[in-house]
Amino acid sequence: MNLTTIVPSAEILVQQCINGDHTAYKLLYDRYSKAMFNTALRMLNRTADAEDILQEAFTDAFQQLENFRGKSTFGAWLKQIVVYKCITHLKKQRLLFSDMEPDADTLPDEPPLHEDEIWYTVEIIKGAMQSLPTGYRTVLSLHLFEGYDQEEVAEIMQVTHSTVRTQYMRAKQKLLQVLKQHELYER
Amino acid sequence: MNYMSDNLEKFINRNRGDFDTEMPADGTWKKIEAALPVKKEARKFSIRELYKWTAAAAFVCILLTSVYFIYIRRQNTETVSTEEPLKSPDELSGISPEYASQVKQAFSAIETRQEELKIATSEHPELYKEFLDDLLVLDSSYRMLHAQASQTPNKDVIMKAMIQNLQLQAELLYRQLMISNEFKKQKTKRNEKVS
Repeated sequence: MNLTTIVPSAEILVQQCINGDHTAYKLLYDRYSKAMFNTALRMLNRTADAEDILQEAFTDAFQQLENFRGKSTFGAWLKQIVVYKCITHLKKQRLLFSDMEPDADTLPDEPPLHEDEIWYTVEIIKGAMQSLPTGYRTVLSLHLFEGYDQEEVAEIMQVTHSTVRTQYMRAKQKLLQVLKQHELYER
Repeated sequence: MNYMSDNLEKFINRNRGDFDTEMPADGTWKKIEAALPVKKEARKFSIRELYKWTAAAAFVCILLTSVYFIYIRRQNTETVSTEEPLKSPDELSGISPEYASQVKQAFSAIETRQEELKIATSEHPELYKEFLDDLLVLDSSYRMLHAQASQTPNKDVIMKAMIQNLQLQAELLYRQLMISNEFKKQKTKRNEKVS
């Protein structure tokens, strides 16, 4: 018995769904829902919104399975749907660009922080991310957590590459500040 | 644990999985499930489908024979020649050139599909034999029409029937090809599961 018997690949599950096998849908959901939910949650910062997006994304993906032609992996395709839905949601609520204007959040006078001067853990970073303004959190989520390069982030957010570059630098500085504050507070 | 010397990007990258700790509410799947695409019957190779086509072929055969008896025979009092007709488009053109191109087209479609089917069912000779039997039903009816074509004054009707017969043969072959592909696919799938 080889591994494919126990864990069928996502692509095989997709084919089973297309063939009308309903249990395959649940298997795909079980496999990807947690990662997709956390992706949405990092971007939206609200559990209820993230659950709505998760539901919409899976529903849309399942309806359009025939369009998934294996150009990427199923996980990457699904994540793209989740990410685009999150962006649309943030734009609707006018949350995305309010803090992305070049002058909206000027860099502090103090010299930039270096990450290797700061102490952090997974939990601390998670908390710090939640405290960031939406625009910063989005740029960091997409580039740092979801692995999109800056050009892809620019395309997803429909801003220029240079905007993403600046915003990413600022967002990271902001994150480091929060982490530093946390460190001081903890001590 | 202290990660002071770590670069933030590298740190997140290395511990990426640990960041995904939250779980969606239990009810989320129920909502997704309710909106799942309408269940399509999984297409399975079935002997029933084969029988359906055999029945259709038999029906057409009976129909054409009836047409022959009702219309053609009435006009043609001569006895039916029993000579073995040659299934060749060149010979047909002598009978009725206006239909020659249509017949030629049908012949080439049949030939191509027959070849494809032979390859597709090479691993399942029993399936090929079944398919061939079905095809012979239509083919014998074609031969009968062909025998009449040279003698009947009403060539139009009989030529049309012949072309229709050839088209049906091509259609049947196409269906058989589909069935054998499906059969092969399911067999591979089964093998995948077993291995």
